[in-house]
Order: sequence, then C-alpha cells, then structure tokens
Amino acid sequence: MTHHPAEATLHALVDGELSPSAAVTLEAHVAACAECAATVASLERLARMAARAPSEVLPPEASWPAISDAIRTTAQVAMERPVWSRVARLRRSMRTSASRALAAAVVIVLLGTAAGIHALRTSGVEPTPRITTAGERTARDESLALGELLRELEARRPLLAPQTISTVEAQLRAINDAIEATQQALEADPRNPHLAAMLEHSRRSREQFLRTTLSLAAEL
Amino acid sequence: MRITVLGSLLACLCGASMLQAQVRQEHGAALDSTGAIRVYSLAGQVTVEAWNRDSIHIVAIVPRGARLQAGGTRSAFKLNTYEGMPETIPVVHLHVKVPRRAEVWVKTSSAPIAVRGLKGTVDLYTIEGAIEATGNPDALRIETMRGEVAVSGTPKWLRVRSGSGDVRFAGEALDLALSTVSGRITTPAGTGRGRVESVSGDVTITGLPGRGAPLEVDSHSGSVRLRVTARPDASFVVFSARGAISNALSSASPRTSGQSGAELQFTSGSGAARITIRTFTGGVWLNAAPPARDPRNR
Repeated sequence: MTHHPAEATLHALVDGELSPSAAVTLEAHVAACAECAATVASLERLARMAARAPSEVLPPEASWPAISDAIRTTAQVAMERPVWSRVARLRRSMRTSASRALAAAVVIVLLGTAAGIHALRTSGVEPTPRITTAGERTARDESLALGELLRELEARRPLLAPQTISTVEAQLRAINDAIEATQQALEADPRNPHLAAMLEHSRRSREQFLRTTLSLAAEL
Repeated sequence: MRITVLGSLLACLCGASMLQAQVRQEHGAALDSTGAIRVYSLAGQVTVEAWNRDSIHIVAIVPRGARLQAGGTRSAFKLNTYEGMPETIPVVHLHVKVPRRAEVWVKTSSAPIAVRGLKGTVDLYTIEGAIEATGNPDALRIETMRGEVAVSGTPKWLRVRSGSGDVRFAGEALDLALSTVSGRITTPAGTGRGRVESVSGDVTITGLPGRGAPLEVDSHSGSVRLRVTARPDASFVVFSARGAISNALSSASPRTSGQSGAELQFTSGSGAARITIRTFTGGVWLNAAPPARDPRNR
C-alpha cells in the first residue's frame, strides 16, 4: 500500500471491523507511515478514553434540542425538495446516467430514518430525564450515530432505482417496526435480557442497513 | 405464415444489429499472485475466475462506443467499465481470470457477480445483482440490497449482509455472520462462531458449530428452524416473546420468561456447542434430522 488510507478505514482498523487480511495489509502500512501511525494512535487514545468514560455521562441536556432540531431541519429540507418530481425526472432519464439512478431512495432513507429518530425521541426517552437508563442512553447514542449517517447521505446524495427505493423504504419500515415493538415489550418487562438483546440487535440492524446503503451507493 | 416469416426476419435483423452493437475486447497483464483487483461495473455480468498463473486476463463484451478502462501495476489492477459513455449505462459482460490468491473487490449496480475458485480476500458489493461465490477464500464479504446470495465452499471468514435478497450458504465457515432484513437465510452452522440475524426473513440452520463455539440467531418476525442430529452435543437457550417454541430434541418445555415471552433451556450431551436463539413473533423449531452424508465420502 503506497497511498494513505482513508480515515474511515483507519477507524475500521481500530474498531476491528476490517477483514483479517485487510487488517494485516493496513497494519503493515501504518507501521511504516508516521502520519497514519499518529492517526491510529489518536483514534486508539480516543477509544480508550471512551471506554473509561462513565456510562452515566450524557451530552448536556441543553445540547439535545439543538441536535434534535438539526435532524428535524434535515428532514424538513428533504421534504421541501420536489422529491417525486425528481423521481419522475429520474425515471425519464434512468437510461442516461447510472449515478442519477440512485437519488430518490436516499430521500426515502432520510425520511424513514428521520421518522425513526423522531419515534425514538417521542416514544422511548423521557423529555427531561434525571436518571437515565441503559435503553435511553442507547437511544441517544443511536440517534447521534444516525444523525451522522444522515449527514453522509445528504452529502453524497446518490440516486437509486425506483424498485430499490421501494426496497429501502419497506426495509426501514420493517426495522423501525421491529424496534418499536421490542421497545414497547421491554418497557413492560424491563429486566428481560432477551428483549434487551433483541432491541440492541434491531438497532444495530438499522445502522448496518444504512451503512450498507451508503456503501453500495458510493462510487457508482 | 407470412406474419411468422416476417417476424423471424425481423428477429434475425435485430439480433444481428445487437451483435454488431457489441465489441469484444481482451486485455492481459502480469499480476502478483496476491495482487489486488478492483472491478467496477454497473450492468451486465461480472465473472471472476481463479487460475494458476500470475497474471490477469480480461474478456469484455462491451457496447460499441464504450471504453473499458483497464490498468494498473503488478500489485494492483483496476477495471472500470463505464468510462467513455457518461450518458448511458453500458451493459458489459466481463470475464476476468485472476491469480488464485488474488485480493478481489467487485462492485456493481445491477450486474450479477460470480466468483469461482478464489483463495484470497474477496469483497463483493451490488445493489441488485445476484451474487454467486464458490471456492475457499480466506475472507469473503458480501453486501447487497436486493440481490440473492449463494455461497458454496469453505470460506474461513464469511460476512454477508443483504436487504431483501435471500442468502444461501452451503459449506463450512470457521467464522460466520449472515444478516438480512427480509431475505431468507439457509445455512449450516459454522465450525467456529456463528451469528445469523434477520428482521423478518426466515432462518434455517443445519447442524451445530464446533466444540465450545457459540451460535447466535436473532430474528424479529422470521421463523427459525434448527435441524441437528438426534442427540446433539450442545446447550440451548431459546427465547421468543410472542412466537411458538417447538422442541423435538429433548423433553424440556418452554417456561414463561420474565413478564413476557417463553424461554427454553436445556443441555444435551456435554453441552459442547452453545446455541442461543431469540425471536419476537417468529416461531422456533428445534428438529432432529438424520446426519448429513459427508459429500467427500460419496
């Protein structure tokens, strides 16, 4: 490897998300590259600090409305765009550009995810919690991660074919429904470890699904 | 009769015209035995096949006017099939032969991907093309939104993520993680650790992981069917919040778990493998099946 890897790749290395051979290749590069080694060291420091941080610590309550507003604004911007006229244009020009063929579903992803975030805000978290539960922390962390994904989607704004749009929409709806149903069951039975594990699984599925959407839409 | 003859003539003319509209291109280059290959192709078909030579050989059927961009060094080679036709999606049929241990990366939009015989690291991404992978790669990662996935062989490390496409795996994997949203999953348990997840897709798993290895299965509304030998050497934890649990492996019965759901726990044999299955509304079936015949002994 002669070029510097993307920072996201270094994140993946630190998080242990690379395949074994990719990790070996990247580690070899990092061992020989002072710049990347410094980045990796910084990321590892950050991970250690995050691991040591007390789990009760949350972002200041005052910051949450700003984050929430930002997400809502993003969704509003997406809604105000002439989405379906864009889709209609896309249909007409589908054969003319592959990259354009990806736009509408991202809007669906944005709307679906924003709706999911809104649902999380309204259904799972008390308005001004003094004592936070593990579930609430997870919901907030997830909302922040989803906010990042939204921004990435907004920045890339790739286009998907109409059939793929339907797939994305249906799948996000299915995942959001699963999260909501599990969350309700967990509220009724908060000490059930299986439900907690399932909720975590559903949330991870949504994040993975969005990441996969981003990854597949990139570079095409 | 006249209409049939005219139709046949028209079909011949169209066929000839289509053939004329496509061009066969060939490229060859030296490539290290563990060199990296990246292939981008939107529509058509991508086939990557291993061969025992330190070189790459490409046969491409491309539309007239499209340019196949192919180039690189001995350690890295890149193929890009949509250069030269920015206003259209070229339908390109690519057949690529690469060194067996090459590191292969393929990304398509609708083009199906087939890889055969590779032993290195393989990454396959497609929005809606089907993916078929056979061989024994060290690591195989597949991501698709709508494509069906079929993997056979013995990948050491296998990761598949699918949206609505079904996932079928036949073979052995040391480390296995398969997930879908609504696609069905059919797989043997990995020999090492395994994780199988779906939101609404049904899951069917055959066999048990190796001694001490965990197998975790999560599905929200999909059913989970586990088929193992009549006297499995494993410990089982099965939970379903709303779904039925059927156990044909022991006399143990599900009991109420917390304030919701039912949980079934039992150990068979020495409890070597550790099986955990969780569903929300999906049913769980633990069935005994006759031991599968080892295909190598046939």
